[in-house]
Amino acid sequence: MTFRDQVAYLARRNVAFFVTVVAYAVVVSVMLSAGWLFPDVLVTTGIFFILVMSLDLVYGYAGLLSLGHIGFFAVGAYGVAILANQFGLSWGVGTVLSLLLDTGIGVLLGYAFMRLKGSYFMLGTLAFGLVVQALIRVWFSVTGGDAGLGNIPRPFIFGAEFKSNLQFGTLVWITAAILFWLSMNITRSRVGRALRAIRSDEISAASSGVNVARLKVNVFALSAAYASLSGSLFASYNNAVHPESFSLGALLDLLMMLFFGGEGTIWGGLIGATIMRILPDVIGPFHAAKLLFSGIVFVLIIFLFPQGLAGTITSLLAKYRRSPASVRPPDGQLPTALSQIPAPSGAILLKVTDLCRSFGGLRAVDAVSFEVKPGHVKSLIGPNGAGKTTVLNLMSGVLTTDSGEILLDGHALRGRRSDQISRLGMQRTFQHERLFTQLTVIENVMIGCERGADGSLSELLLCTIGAGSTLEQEMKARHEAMRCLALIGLAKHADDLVSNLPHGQRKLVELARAIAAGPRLLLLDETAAGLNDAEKIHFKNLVGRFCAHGMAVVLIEHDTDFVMELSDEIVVMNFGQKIADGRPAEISRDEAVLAAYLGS
Amino acid sequence: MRTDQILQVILTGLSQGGIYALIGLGFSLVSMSTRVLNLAQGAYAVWGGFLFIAMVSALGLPPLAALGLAIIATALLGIVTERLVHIRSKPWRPISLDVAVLSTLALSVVFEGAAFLVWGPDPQRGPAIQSGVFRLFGAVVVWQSVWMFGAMIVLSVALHLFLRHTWMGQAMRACAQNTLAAHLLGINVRRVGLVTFGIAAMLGATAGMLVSPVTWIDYQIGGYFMLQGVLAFLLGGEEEVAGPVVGGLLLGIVENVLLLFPGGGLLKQVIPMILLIAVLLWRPQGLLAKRAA
Amino acid sequence: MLSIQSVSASYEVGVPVLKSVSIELGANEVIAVLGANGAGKSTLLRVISGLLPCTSGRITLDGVDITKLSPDRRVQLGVVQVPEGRQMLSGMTVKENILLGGYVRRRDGAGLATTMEEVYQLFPILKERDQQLAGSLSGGQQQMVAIARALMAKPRVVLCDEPSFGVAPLVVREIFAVLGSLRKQGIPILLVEQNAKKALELSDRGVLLRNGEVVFSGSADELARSDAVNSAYLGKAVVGS
Repeated sequence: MTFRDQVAYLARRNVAFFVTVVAYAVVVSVMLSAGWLFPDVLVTTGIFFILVMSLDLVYGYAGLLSLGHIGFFAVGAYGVAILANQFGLSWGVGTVLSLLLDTGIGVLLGYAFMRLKGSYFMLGTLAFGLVVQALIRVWFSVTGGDAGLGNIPRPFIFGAEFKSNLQFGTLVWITAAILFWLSMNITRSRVGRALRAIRSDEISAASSGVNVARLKVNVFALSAAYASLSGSLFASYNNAVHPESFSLGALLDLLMMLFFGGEGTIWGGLIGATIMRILPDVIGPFHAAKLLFSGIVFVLIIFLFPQGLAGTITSLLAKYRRSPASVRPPDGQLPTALSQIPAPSGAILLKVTDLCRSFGGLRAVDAVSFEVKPGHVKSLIGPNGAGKTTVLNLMSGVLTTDSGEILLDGHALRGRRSDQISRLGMQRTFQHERLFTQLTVIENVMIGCERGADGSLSELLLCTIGAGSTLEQEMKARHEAMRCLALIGLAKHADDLVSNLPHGQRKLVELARAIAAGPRLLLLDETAAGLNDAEKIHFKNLVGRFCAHGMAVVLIEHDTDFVMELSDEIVVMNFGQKIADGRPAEISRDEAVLAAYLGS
Repeated sequence: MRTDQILQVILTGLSQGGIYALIGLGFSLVSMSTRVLNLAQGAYAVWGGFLFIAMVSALGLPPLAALGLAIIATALLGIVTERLVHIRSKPWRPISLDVAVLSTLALSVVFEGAAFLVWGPDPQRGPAIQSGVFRLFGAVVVWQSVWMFGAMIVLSVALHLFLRHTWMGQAMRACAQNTLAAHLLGINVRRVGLVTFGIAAMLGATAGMLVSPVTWIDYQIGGYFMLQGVLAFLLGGEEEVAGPVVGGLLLGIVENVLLLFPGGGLLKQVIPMILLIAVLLWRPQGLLAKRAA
Repeated sequence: MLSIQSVSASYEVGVPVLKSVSIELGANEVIAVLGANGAGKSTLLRVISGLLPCTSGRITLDGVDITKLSPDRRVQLGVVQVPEGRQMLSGMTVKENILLGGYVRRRDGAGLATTMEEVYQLFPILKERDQQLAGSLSGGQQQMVAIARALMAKPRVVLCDEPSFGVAPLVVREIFAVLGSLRKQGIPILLVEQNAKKALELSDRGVLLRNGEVVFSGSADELARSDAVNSAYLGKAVVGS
């Protein structure tokens, strides 16, 4: 794509954003010149825009509702203030040091809280925010306690002084613009996609190769850095810091900015911050009711307006948005990954030996053993509760194995995380569909193609500056994903939201996502369930094609006709144990199998 | 350190811990029955306290009568919270936890704002149920704190009996353990939720009223109360009644013990929060829980 | 008694799980609902109990339209389910679990006490273990508690969801014996089961579901002899063998 094409594409893709920014600029200029708006508002809006972006990164994208970001904000602000007052350090140095401190805390808290489920994560982050505020109040020798601190220098960077409000405001907006550009790079990249996948469904994100824990921690730390910068600017602008600015009330303001603007959009923060800054002036005479009013507005936003303004505008302008699919139509070729499936080093691809797993006193899987050869289809059948899905969960790392061995081409799988197993060449679908419902069809498949994101810091940083996942690379990934979709037969639905597709097609999307990485072993858990006859024939043909390219398949199905036609071998389970293992013809005559299904 | 100092600290700790336990009990009830983190729990204490003070000073009611009336009035706040949180929930479509918690946060601000409008920014002090002090082995004991501790004991026992020996109590336990089963047993899960929130609000209100003569109440103190309640709940663990009680008393004693050390006031503010983070990290199921996290 | 008329349901918009299902359950009747996994059997029971709304169709109990009633109202009217997987209140004792089964009759203390005695006679092992936590019981014992709970409500219709799931074969026999005695008492049962043979032995009639639709309906004998059931579970390869 030429540079001109790229710009044109980006413009059409982000129609809602550009329209809003232009409208914003116009409205603000008019209000400024008419005297309805004071320049002061613009500066603080910029500062809070940065803070809202920090929260949007973790909540809007990764789904982590951190109630403690005011704490990071406070560390950034007080850091600069204290270092200036106690050690006479300049704003620049103070900011950098606070940034490092905040990022470090972000990493620590990230690791500490990652395991916590929803409510407890919120509690933990809330506690952090309050610890910071309490520390500020109580350590008055250093922080000035309730009186606060003053004498905060203005920035003096590389010889440029930003002393006047106008100059400072310019600095704020330049910083905001840069940080915004960085955020957009992340969210439009594979890391952004991985984050949204995490928010949608962590387990299947991990199965698709995303290193969930590491990515969460890194994003959390990055957002702490943003908040820190915002705090340092805040302190310098006001030339003072007071504990009041970092209280629960401030948390509420921040949440309102986020939700008013629209979480998950990044640029929504611009609108949210502006509105919240103007609101006090609007309420003015009713100042006493401000708190009550804020609370009521917040309630209304949560229930009536969850998309926020940015989200609403995007929906309204959706039909003008240019679909990326039209950029490069599928070329009828096989996905690269599929044609490059490596052959195993021996005759056996998968060897499961004496696999055991209990839940409390119940032996769900009891010494199950079987083998799978490359390019073969092995089915796992048995009555409800036989342990079939548990076996798949053990193989793919979703559950931990009590004892036994699983070897994939000689690699021991036991003890490894799902994303590690996924990278070793195993992919799966889930019995109860686990698609990334908040992503489009093609985005779901792209995550499969990319083998997720390994979540490392280097990857994050590269994506941030737009190098790790450039437009060209994105297009290439899309192209591969389109090839998968074309193979499966869903190419025309590429940009549809998954939730809008009927059941049968959603199952196929899960299949497309699973094969996109070209796995050596594919686990299919009731993927054909609920498909009509025509869809099942199509599914059968697809499986045949995959096997022809060297993929081995282990599948669980209840439609026995289907299983008999499709499989090379069948394993029958009952009460956690393997009761038969052989070719379809043998199985259909096996007494034990008949008894298990029909009752003796 | 002299014995009477230690005794003083423990006794004060027990009475303050009683207050934390009451708030924690309310928090625990709601959290276990509905899985919702009720961040408005502290606001109930604030409103209970203010209503109590208003009824005694403005309406001239005797303290015990005012206590009763204010408790009932505050139950309404609990009901409002439940209604809002579950406004769109159906048996086949449970509420999103994020949204539920955020709405309780929003509500806590609404309650705070309303309190500010009605009573202004100044802290107020309530009348004691029984004023005066007495001496116990050299330590000074305020009568009010006996009431605080006593109320907590009485209410916890009553709650425990209620949960085990009444139909509604058993229904609440059922909803907490398995909502699907509760529906199939013919339990009206929404109504149980209302009762749960109502009781939680009443417990919070009682805490606020009892503590009002000792700690000045202002519109903002709700957040602090809520956190102490949460901490009591988390420390004690997922045992409906015993958990918050043990957690609250422990918290009260620890806070007051810290006061004995130099810089105690400083530590007292910060240590509880750090304790909270520590508990979340190492034993999120709480000290008393039987099962592993 | 219980009339399910052209009921359709879906979990998400546009994805029907039940398609115009009609079943008539008369008094004193036991109907087996059979079908492979994903056929919609459990969904049907959920809809009848009010845990999932119908997108179309009607459900009536003795002529009274219960289609829009809340789950607890339906239990009050006598539509009681023995749920899939038992759904024990694990942290509560056996006795507490069983007693809660009578929640809808809680004002009738004496009546409840009598019913409890009857239930303990049916399941003496539960009386032995009445102070044990329900979560620590075996699958079969939990199933007994689940049935006991349902009986405490003095049901007019019992909906039974896969009672043999995860239960050892010997205990399955016992449980089906209990269901048999319910049948003798004249309580109509809608029995969802994967174990077709056992279910058909107990039932008067049977219904076969596939992909959310009724594909075969008739007397239990007809169903047991037909190819339809065998092929639904084991495929055409087995039929005739």
